[in-house]
Amino acid sequence: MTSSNRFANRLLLFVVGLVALAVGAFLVIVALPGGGVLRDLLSPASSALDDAVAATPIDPSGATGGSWLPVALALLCLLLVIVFVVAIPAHGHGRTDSVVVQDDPAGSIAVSSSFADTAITDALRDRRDVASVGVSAWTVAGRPALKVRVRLTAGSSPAPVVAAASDVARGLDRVLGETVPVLVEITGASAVRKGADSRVA
Amino acid sequence: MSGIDPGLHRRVLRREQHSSRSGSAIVVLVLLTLVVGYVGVEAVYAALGRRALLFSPVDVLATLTSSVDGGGTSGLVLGAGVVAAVVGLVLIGLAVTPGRRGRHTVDDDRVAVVVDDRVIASSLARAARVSGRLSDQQVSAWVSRRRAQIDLTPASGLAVDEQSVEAATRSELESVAYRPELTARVRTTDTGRVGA
Repeated sequence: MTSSNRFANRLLLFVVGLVALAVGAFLVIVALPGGGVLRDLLSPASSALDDAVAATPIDPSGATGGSWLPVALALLCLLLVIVFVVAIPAHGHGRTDSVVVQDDPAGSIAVSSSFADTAITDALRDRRDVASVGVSAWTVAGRPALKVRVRLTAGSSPAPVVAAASDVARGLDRVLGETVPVLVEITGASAVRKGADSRVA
Repeated sequence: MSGIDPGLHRRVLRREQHSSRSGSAIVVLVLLTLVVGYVGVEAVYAALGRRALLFSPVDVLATLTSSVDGGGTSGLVLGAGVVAAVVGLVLIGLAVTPGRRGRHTVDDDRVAVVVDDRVIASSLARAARVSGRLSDQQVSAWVSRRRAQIDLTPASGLAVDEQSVEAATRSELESVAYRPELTARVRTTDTGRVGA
């Protein structure tokens, strides 16, 4: 339930993949004996680069230093590195610590997510088919939402737990006076593996 | 009491059923940072007129030209090209494939539910075990997007009551409204196991 921008992730992968594929294909064609057409482009491009470097002196009088193109390249790289480094920790946000926030003229009321955590965990923990319960609160579409992760004991059917979790959510609605979206995520130990779940019939 | 916006549930469930690709994106960003940072360092070296560490961005094309000018095949360039192309294909694949996470949703009018496929398989395996009076080592199950497969290994010399196992797994599947829907198939292996 993180707020990571999934389209941006895929766009990044696609663009970088496309560039890598293009560069790779170019290198392969140039390296193979059949790559005559692209190879013929290489030396004009190389001399054009030399010309560009020669035509862009830092000091117009030509007394000192070389071209300003490497300097510009270095600055561009610095800028890109800053963008990438900023983009990396932008993933995985979206947690919140209150499930209900109500603003009244007299002040504002916030119900902490640990309240919902305790209520839901207490209601589900004692069931025989539940191994553990974890509750976290997230901001989804600008509103708080709860994620209830229920780990079942091996072999249990999910249906009764889903019904129970649904009832718990309704009970929470009554207590809070507001309907909070709830996601129930049901996971389990890997009981499919042979011999992993012998003690539960 | 206001109900839950069904669009919100759909959105949450869609996001829970597919990979966010955050992991791959972070790996790519870290690698890009290293590569671009290195090119930046080489650019600074070139701007100061120092000798390049590995290659100078100013004469990279000249280096490439001279390395392939002999007319033959240049192994280094070819290898680098193949590696880059394969990496590119993998990244494009990651970008366009759905990245499903092996989960099913269950219809409920109050909560949005995702169930791990392993939980479904485990519940089917238990139903098969109880109805067929088998030990847990004789049953294995897996669940894919639309199919559930239960494999039974009979003990040598004893027949497995495949009908009752099939009925039990079907009723277990029907007790939960999984989306996408699952059809169960029970298969008994031809060879039994001694002492199973």
